[in-house]
Amino acid sequence: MKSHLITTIAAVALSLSVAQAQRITLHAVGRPAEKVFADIMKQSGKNFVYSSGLLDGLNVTVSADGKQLRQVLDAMFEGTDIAYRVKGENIILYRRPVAARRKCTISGFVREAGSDEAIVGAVVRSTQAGVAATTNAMGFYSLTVPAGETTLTVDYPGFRDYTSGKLAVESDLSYNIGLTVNSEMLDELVVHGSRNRYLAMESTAVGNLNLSNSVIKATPVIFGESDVIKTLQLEPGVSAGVEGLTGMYVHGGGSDENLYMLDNIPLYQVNHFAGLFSAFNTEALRNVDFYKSSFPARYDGRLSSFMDVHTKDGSMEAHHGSVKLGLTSGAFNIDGPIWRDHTSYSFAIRRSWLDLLTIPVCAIANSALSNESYTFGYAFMDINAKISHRFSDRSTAYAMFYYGDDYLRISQDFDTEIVTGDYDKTKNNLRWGNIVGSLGWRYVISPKMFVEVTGAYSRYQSRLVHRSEYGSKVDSKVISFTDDRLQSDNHIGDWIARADFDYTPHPSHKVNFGVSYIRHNFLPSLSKRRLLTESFEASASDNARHYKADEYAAYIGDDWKLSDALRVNAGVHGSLFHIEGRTHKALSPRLSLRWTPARDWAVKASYSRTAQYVHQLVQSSISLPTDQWVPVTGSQKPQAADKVSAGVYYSLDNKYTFSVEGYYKWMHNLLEYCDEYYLMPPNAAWDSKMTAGKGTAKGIDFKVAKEFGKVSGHISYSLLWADRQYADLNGGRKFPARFDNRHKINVMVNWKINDKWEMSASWTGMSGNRFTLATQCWDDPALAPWHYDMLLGTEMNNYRLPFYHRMDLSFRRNTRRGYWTFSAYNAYCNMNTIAVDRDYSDSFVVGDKYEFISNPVFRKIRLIPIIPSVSYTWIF
Amino acid sequence: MDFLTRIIISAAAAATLSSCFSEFDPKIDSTPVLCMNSNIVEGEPIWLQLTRTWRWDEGDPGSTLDISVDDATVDLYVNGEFKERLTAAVREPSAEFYDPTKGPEKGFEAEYIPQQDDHIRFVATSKKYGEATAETVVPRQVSISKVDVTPLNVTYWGNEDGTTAGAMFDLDIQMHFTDPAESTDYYLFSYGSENTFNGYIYDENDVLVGSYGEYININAYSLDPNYEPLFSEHVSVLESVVASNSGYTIFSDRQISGRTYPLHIHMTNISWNYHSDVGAVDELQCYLVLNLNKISEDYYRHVLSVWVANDGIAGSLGSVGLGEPVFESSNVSTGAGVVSSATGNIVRIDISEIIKARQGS
Repeated sequence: MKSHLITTIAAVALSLSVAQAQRITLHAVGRPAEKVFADIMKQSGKNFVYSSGLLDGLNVTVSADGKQLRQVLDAMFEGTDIAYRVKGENIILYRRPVAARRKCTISGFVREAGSDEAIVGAVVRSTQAGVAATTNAMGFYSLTVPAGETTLTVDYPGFRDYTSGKLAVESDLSYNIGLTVNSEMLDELVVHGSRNRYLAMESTAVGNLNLSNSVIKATPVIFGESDVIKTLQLEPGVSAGVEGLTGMYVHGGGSDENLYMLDNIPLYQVNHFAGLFSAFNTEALRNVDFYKSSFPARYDGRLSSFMDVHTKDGSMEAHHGSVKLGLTSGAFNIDGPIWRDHTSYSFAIRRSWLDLLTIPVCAIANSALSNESYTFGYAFMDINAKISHRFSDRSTAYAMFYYGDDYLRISQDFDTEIVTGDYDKTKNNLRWGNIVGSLGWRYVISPKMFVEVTGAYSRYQSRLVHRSEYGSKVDSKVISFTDDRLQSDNHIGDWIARADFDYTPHPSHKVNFGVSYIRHNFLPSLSKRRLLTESFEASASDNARHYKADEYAAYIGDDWKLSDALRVNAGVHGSLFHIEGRTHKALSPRLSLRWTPARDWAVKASYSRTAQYVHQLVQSSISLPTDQWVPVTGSQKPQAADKVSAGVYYSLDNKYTFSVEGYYKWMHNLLEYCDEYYLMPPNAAWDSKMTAGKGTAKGIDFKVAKEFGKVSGHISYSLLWADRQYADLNGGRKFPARFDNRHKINVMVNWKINDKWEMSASWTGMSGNRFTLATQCWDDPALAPWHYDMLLGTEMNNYRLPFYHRMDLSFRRNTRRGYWTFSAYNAYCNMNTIAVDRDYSDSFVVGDKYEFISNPVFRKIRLIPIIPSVSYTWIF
Repeated sequence: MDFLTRIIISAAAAATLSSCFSEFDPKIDSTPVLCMNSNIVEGEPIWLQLTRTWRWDEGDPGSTLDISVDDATVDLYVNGEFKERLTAAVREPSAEFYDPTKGPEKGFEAEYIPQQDDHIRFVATSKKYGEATAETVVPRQVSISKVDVTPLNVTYWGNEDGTTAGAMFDLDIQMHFTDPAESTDYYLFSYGSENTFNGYIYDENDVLVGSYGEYININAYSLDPNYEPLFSEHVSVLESVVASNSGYTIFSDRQISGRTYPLHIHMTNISWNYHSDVGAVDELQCYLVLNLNKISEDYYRHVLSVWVANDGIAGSLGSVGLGEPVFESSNVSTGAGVVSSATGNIVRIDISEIIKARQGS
């Protein structure tokens, strides 16, 4: 049978030889169909033959006392779309032809009961029809079933299984579902499925992951500050970059090749404090979708990964919140109804403490100084706010706002006017951060079609101002002075309009399509200087080039279930980027498929092409406010990547998911700073410092995950090769990528010890980062004013740092009103090598004569020791 | 406290407080190559030092490591034509970089005296270390049209008989020079002092009975580079916060090409002292020497790279593994070192005039 090429045959050979007319006696109420089949096989001697997935979630009710086989089968499949045919010793099951019955569509939202937060990725099934749908980012689902009675079930990790009872579906039906949190289920019971199991076993996606808020909070991290990016760093194929920071290098890609989105709006600067913390406040987020291999048609604009952070909508029922006090920052969040069942709000704020510590320290230090004073202050803050309003079951709207800000102030003031007549004041203000504002409207156009229309503004800006004033006075008269002011601005601002549609024309098709427009404004690097003295005034402005670009995009993708065993997701994302009279085009096809060769097994393959029109110029592995976002200009071409990937997945008892994913990625038109770019003036045109090139990355990711039970977690191993080649870098020769961490092992374990205590532990071991180590020196030509050892240039990333390993621990103590978190970063204090430097080993030899010996040596720089931390979260 | 607890606490303390640095051998092969250094000055004899590169942990050149090259020849080409083979020579190191442990400098010298616009090329060959070549063009002298000097904050003191005097003052100088429009030019501003009135007095038995002298105390920190924007054209805003630019007085003509520009030189805390055991002297001769050099591009790139490597953000991040390291710029192909050139234009400012004017005021 053609449609059953990939059919699983469940056959039980029974020794009994029974006549077809033999009568059957059995009683079953809501029992899994497969178990009822076993009884029938025993009594009838016939085998059941059917496709894998045909019976997914099907429970049957039948009562028969000495009835004929056909009567029993008719009763059992009544109200379902399953038909049967008895052929010889086999009972062949198949789905009824679609045209045979009238279809109706059930649609609605799946939300958390009590808070009304949308639940993303929940699987809604009709047991009779044997069809299923997953909720989208807004919790919307659409399911087409045969007219008649049907029962909906929903399972989602952390919530009680939901069963609707019998619904009489005679026409299209709007049906919203509220799921109830059940923490016991998480800890004790085996659940029927999960978002990530669904992604692994049912979807076509390769390398797709969903992280819930609780998973992120359970991951032990430095300073106890839970962080979505640091949670993702534990995934195979994701390199963390420099220890302790929120770097993310996915499958050998660069740091700017990840698209970070906040409710589908791009965020450009995702770090605070040089990358020690990410911009995503865990208290404000609901869950996160992460894509690293196959990409839905909806996403484009970055080469390596896409991360969509969904923020909380706020409860429609009651006010909830929490206050968290940690060593480095504090956070407050609250959400609740403004108009019960109609309007909700959510507000979260987080702020670091560092400046509150430095201000009194500076004040104390300054009190001991005469005629001079110093100030130093650093702080970061982020605010997430959201208001959602439900006009009706079909129409909701929201307004979302995000504000992230870092500032650094350093000043010094020498005022010795009374003594020498001189004064010298220096002030440095550095401020950088994001603002995102968006308005969205979600509307159920029809039971089969859902639309979300969004208008948004996203801006990243940094401003650095340095001002020094100094001079001399005699008898209070200024006889000489200098007032020198430097300012540097970097800005990217996007006005965004987009419409995204979900359309389910047929139970086997789920179509996503949409259009978007982005008006980009770039000010990559404006430098201004004004110098004023008693006899001279000069002002200069460099790099005032201000770019405006228009980006248009459209996409369509269809998730097509060809059969129970075969599923295909095909799509395309097309975009135009118009800048300075030039229009760049990109067509990004996407194709992924899933084949189920046997029950609990899935085999997948995918191809994705991605294009990137904006990129970030970074000098280092840490996040600096001077890192500039710049567009493709001049003769540059958009960066692009082609990626093929394949995976094999196995689910063991719905408890464990095993996966092996391989990939090969070709990257084109990559941009990087060229050799000796630093010898160009800092305000030289930024594109003159760049060189274009290409790269490849290939590897395999293995993972075993257990998501539920008292003990959960995952173990993963990844193997990676990544290289780069640029025309004007490293003499044009190919070199390994910096974070080409060949082997990487991650172990993550969460253990709920009892109601009061929970423990999390993670261990990471990986090949060290690549490092450019200059080993040779040459004689100083003595041209510069100061004299150093000259270093002879060498091949880039010629040295691999020693093997890196670290364990982090976290304990949570639940109290009546909240919980304490005790954590230890680098618990066994293995100070890993982050670099190698050259220094002298000084020693004294006391023998015949006392001698001082200073030998030049190479030294490993090892950075972070054990860092314990504690925080308390009060929940109200 | 039980035994186990003691052990756990001791181990934890030891691990936490363990050193952040540890010596090791990175086990990377490195092959030494020739290193050629020469700064050619218009009108002065050519001096070239030829050494070899060395692996950092091989030793300390001059004390525990010999990096001289004995089997090498160096050929000089001027304007594309072979001029001569340099001859090995020894000279005393310059006073500025004098290191008594290193002794006289070994090098090569040429008979040819370089001129402006000369295209100089060296080819060095060694059986052990291979070949290295480098070239440079001797720049033309810059044209200085005017120098305005304004003394500031002059504090003068002296005894009545005029045998001892001193002063402390600042100088604000505007040196007007014209950059040629037709070429890309690089500059180095340097300064020093020149004293001719200096000596000791002996009696008829050659016994020291007195001294006389006049000198200016001026050093690398006397110049405030902030007053002249060109001196910091290589400093980004962030670097102006975190990096020092002290002593670096190189610049390019990127912002002043083809224009006459007043270079703003602000010097502070210059001290002048005068002492004479032979009675008051009317004709003092003490000069502040200002030199505006045109330098070759190789010179400029090298000095700039030294600043970036040691003071700039890129170098600072690279040195601790947070970015790519910065290598000091070399223009020697298949080797290391810098072959550069410079042509100066010296202006002498008579400090005595300033002092006398103040003395009289």
